[in-house]
Amino acid sequence: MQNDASTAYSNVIESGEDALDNIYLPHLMVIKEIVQETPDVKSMKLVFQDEEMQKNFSFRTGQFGEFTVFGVGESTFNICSSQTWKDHIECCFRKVGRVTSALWQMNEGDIIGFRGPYGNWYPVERMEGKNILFIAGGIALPPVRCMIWHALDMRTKFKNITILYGARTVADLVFKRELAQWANRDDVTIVTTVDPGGETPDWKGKVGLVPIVLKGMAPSSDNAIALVCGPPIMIKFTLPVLLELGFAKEDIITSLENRMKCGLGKCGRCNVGKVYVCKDGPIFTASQVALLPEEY
Amino acid sequence: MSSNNPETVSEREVQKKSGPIFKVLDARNLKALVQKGLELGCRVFAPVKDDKLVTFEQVSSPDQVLLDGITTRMSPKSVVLPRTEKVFSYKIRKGEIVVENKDDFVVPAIIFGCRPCDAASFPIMDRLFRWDYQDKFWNKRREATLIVSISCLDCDDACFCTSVGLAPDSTEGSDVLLTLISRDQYLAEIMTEKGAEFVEKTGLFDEAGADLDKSSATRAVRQKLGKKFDVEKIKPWLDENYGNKFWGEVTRMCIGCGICTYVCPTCHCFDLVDEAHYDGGAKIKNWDACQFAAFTVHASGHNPRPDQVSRHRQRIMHKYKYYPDNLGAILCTGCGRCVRHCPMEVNLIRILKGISEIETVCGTQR
Repeated sequence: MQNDASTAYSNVIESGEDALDNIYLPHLMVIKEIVQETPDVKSMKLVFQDEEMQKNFSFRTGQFGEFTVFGVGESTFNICSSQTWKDHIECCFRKVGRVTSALWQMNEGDIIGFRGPYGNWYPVERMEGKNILFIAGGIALPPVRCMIWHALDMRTKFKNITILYGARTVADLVFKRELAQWANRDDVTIVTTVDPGGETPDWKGKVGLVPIVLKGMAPSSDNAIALVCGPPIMIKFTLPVLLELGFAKEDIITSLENRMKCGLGKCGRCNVGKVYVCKDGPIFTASQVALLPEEY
Repeated sequence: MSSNNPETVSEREVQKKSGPIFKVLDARNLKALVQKGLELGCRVFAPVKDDKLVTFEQVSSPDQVLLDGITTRMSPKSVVLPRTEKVFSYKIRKGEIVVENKDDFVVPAIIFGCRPCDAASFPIMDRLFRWDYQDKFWNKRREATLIVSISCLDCDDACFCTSVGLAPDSTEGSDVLLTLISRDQYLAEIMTEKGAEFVEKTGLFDEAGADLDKSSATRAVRQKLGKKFDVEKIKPWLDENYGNKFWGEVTRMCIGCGICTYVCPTCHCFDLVDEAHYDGGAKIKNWDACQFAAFTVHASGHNPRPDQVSRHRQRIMHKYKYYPDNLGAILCTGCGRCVRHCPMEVNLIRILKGISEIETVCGTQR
């Protein structure tokens, strides 16, 4: 399309070029499998519609994506599968807003949009050769679960693996079948807990808040790294317990989740101080978080 | 990076190294300049009178252009960053979704008659949109936009360009800067190749004598502007005082209407939303504002910036600390629109003046 205006000055960009460099353009993904995890949480297995794209796609454990329900909107989810899985990615969400409610209604075979992977990832190299303590609360298991599977897939590279997972009620525990799978392994120690009042008559796990159960477990901080994700209130009370157990702030890793739109450091809303969660995060150590204003 | 062989250096590079080219324009030819821009097929955006307010709009005739205001109500940022724009569309065909990239959005434009503060906002925002991921919607439109600005000869109480390192006649961001140096003559400083090409095509400019100088023309306004605060003191204070109770005091009047961000030439934060029809839809990029609660609220209902104090602090911190930290420039050009248009008289100049004087008034609290 030659525009007359290109005669005004020569810096005019011709239309049509660089069609693929639109940073807001999503790739199409097919929903391959849906699992309803709790009354309001589902997880999905996703595969790129374009086989070439699926073959060439790679990401690092802990990164996130922007997921579009066409015509409804875009939401930010952690890619809750491990980078060691090559044939698909997974995401997990709670039905709470407009996009997640629309996603809730979708079926296997439906198409959604995906942009990513964005952000940084877990410092896997630093975690190798160490004891790993995973701590998660409620819907924050997915961003921990990707690293749990990563560690289990490369089991020999890590020492003891301990998982502490808590939710408000038994019904709110996500990835229950995997919790059972992990419990059956003799190379994993797993403790599940629910808030007081959230237990069922046949509940065999612990009853109590995550920080209190953690105190009781008293895992060794020796040659260990802790990975903690959960609601802000859980993080707030869990951090002091970890410090008391002797974990250095540099050895406590978490994933922040501020509201995002672009995921690219442009739209201006996910910053905590000068730090952009989408570009500089979402993975931070507790020592990095300690330097930030409390805007997360 | 360029070759050492002098013969391979293009003439244009020589021009660039030798600084701006000076020409003169007969003041009676100002309208003819707009006409030339239109004749060359550009969309021309210029200040026009809209009801009682002067705004920046696309014009179809030079007679619409009004150049006697200090600044327009809205800045010309919308020429490069539209209030709302489609970033892609999609169609549903037989159950399949077909995403259509949007790639026909670049139409050359001339921003005519903007003030140096507005012109300076563009290179500042370039830093963000060219930071790491390239936003082609900004970048390409920016490349296709020519900025012909006019130096200020007057100011009002809200103007503070001289306090943030600019001036009523600064050339930052302008392709061509015009300064009225006598009753009937503009001095044109041609800053870029794009500007030189345009100036040549119009045929309206004459060679300038070596003795011509803009500084005497703008001396009066520069004196009137003075320095309203010491910008050097702002960032060091912001670095240390996120939690200072000062924030609660200065933002108490703020009602969170967001007008400061909408009229601001450097506020660029945006939202991405979907729009749907029965057989397709689009992703739309809209202006958004850090002054709204919904800007940061999490799906859980938790809001990291839960009150107007934190949201107003974010705006000032973003402009005077975070942006300089990450991108090396203050995200403010001192146009004064936020001061002029705030319905609650929250005054950025007063806030920044307060910050710059805190040390001398209260001593440093570290």
